[in-house]
Amino acid sequence: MFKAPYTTHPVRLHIYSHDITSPPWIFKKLIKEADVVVQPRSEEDLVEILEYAKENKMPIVPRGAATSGYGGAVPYKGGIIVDFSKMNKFEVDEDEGILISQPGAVWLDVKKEVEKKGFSLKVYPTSAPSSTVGGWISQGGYGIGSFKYGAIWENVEKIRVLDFRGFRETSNLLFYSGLCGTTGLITKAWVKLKDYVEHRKYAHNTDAGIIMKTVKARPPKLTTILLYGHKTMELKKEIEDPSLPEFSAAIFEYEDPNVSENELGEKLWSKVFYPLRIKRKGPSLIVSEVFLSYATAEDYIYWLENEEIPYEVLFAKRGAAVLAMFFEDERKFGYTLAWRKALKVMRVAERKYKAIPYSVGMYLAHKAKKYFENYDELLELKKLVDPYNLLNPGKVFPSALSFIAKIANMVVI
Amino acid sequence: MKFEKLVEDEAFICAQCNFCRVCPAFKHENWESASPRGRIYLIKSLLKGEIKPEDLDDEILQDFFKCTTCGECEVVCQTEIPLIDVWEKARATLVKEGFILPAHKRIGEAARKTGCPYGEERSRDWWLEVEVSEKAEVAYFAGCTATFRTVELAKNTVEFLKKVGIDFTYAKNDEICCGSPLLRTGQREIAYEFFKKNYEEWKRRGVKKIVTSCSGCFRTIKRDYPEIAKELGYEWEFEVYHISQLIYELIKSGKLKLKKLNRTVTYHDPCHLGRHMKVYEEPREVLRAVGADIVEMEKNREEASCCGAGGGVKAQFKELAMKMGIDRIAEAEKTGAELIVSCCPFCKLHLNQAAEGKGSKLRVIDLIEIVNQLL
Repeated sequence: MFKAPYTTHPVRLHIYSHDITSPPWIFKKLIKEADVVVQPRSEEDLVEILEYAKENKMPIVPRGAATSGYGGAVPYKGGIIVDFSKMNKFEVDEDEGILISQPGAVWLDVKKEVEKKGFSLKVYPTSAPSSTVGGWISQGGYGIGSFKYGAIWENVEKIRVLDFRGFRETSNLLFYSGLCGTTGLITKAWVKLKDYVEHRKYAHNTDAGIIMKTVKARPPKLTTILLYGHKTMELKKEIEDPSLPEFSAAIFEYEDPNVSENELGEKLWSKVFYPLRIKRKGPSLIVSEVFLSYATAEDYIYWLENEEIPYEVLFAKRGAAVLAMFFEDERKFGYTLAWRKALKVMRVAERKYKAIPYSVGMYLAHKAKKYFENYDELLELKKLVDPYNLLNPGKVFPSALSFIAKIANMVVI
Repeated sequence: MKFEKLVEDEAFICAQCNFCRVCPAFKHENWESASPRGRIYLIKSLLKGEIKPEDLDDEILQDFFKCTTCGECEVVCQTEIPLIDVWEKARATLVKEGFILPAHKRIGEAARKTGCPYGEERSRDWWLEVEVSEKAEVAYFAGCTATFRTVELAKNTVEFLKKVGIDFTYAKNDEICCGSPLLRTGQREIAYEFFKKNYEEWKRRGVKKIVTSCSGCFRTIKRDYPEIAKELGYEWEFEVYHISQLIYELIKSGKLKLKKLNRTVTYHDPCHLGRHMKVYEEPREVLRAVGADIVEMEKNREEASCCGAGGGVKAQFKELAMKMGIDRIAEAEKTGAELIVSCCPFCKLHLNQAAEGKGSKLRVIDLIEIVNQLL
């Protein structure tokens, strides 16, 4: 079938046909499993995969580490899962201060290496121990460093992309970041770095209102602000560390070696890659994740506080990414109700506080028009580069599944 | 398929974050069916009925068992799943259901027949050249690997105990395998029989403290035996020590003076002593006490890479075990050390074979060999 390693073993296909979300059974029934999983090692392998897909009219589903929860890496219509784990090489252009990376490189590996060479990443995801360069760019989003440096797409100089018209190099990330590979597969990325600087962390008990003053003041060396609501801190105290305070707390990261660190900062930062540890409370976790402008973020956060909903906020350059969490047990009937709760909270965020979804992927593809300001242009590009709709169908650009999701959304609310 | 409650609960707690990609075996495999995340997902799918037991063919079963139970995944787990216990309990269920790999089955059969997973029929005290007490408060438990494969460990331990004046007993041919390879490969029932035999022998000899020179035996007797005892209704009052702990205590109390070792060494943490039992510093303290210049490998203590031999991998997947061993030797080479020091006969045996396979000049020496030579 392919020169690259591939598998059609049904158990292996099952193991690859999901991301970190466990959708309710009704949704799961509508999602197929992959027909084949392939691990390209080079661009030549990718070309062969695209040719095969075109010839056999099979969907292509790119997969980094499948650590997102929006269904972007789920083979909704079956087809070929392209697992990029073997395309994981990277180098640093030390003259230009640029990371040149294949899509499957893992952020934590990259971080360690760029630091050895005297550079630092401007932004990286909190899933860095496993998530990939290509995966995060394709999914879009914010991470450590985003208060100063913004979203991942703002920190990528250019990407090399393969679609059904061939390869192209482009700096227009808005046509690719957050698009889950629907407009082309990223084969290489040039990521902007900064000179190495020691980052210091400081944390204290605070709340959204106080943080907004800092957001407005925008200290030049403040790179990250992460706020944990009081319910989240209670859970962290219960599950992670009994010595943590049970009040809402924020951690501030500075690219300034002169900032004094404190014990709470050290404790919270030591778990910065472990936001899901509190999933032990579940065992299942459903999230409602939105992005708000600073005009409304504070009010929404206070609303979550009053509703006693556990949440985390990542303050970015132009707004706040707010993650509300709901704990349930997927083995119980209440699981579907918890999804309903999560959708309700998202509805409140969107209607009352003018939020947009954090990402759309597959589950929220029906909201893509609202999410992407350039949606019409994206649609044009999609038709041009993927005339048979084989590049990750059902994601971002609405499909029959999105229609069902939309109906389900209306029904449950 | 039904698994034990712990396995079932933890399978649903897994966040599928893939931080466990650090698995030293998965690095050499293509598919996630051989990764901790994939295995947990498989368990969850079996529990939910999405995968049926009849779907578990040889390929998938082999992937499931390509795990040394080293516990590197447990250290990085996003949701703090006790993965070592999960793997062992899940394996026990699979074996009970008839899913057992051929080499593991052979180990079980050999152990049942001879009391030793190597199927050795020699007398277990074939190496013993000194007199030991028939009864004593302290028992030396040599274990199968030091008895039949890396006998220098057993000899040095006995000599050391004699030299420092500890009155000890050794069960000779009445010692039986601790059961570690059986517990790791899911063959619990045989291990329970071995527990009973060893337990009764220690009681007969008036033993209160057990000293091992093998990390696997130490893990089993110190961590598994109390649980088995509870399960079977036996009282458990034994104190269990790894020889490195005993040496450290003797140095700390000033009872042991050693000559100096003017060598640059790197220390390999055996998984069963380190991650499984959290003994990281005592061996290093002993090395410091003899003046060794310790250069750490990049991955050390709780992040240390496995030698590649444990969990039945060396028996069933020789090539994979060798690849992991070579990875560790390569890491040790980078330190510039003259010697690798470790605390486990199985790690020594395997890493020396890996060093040979790689064409490395580095060799592994056990801490007890160094200490006994410097006494």
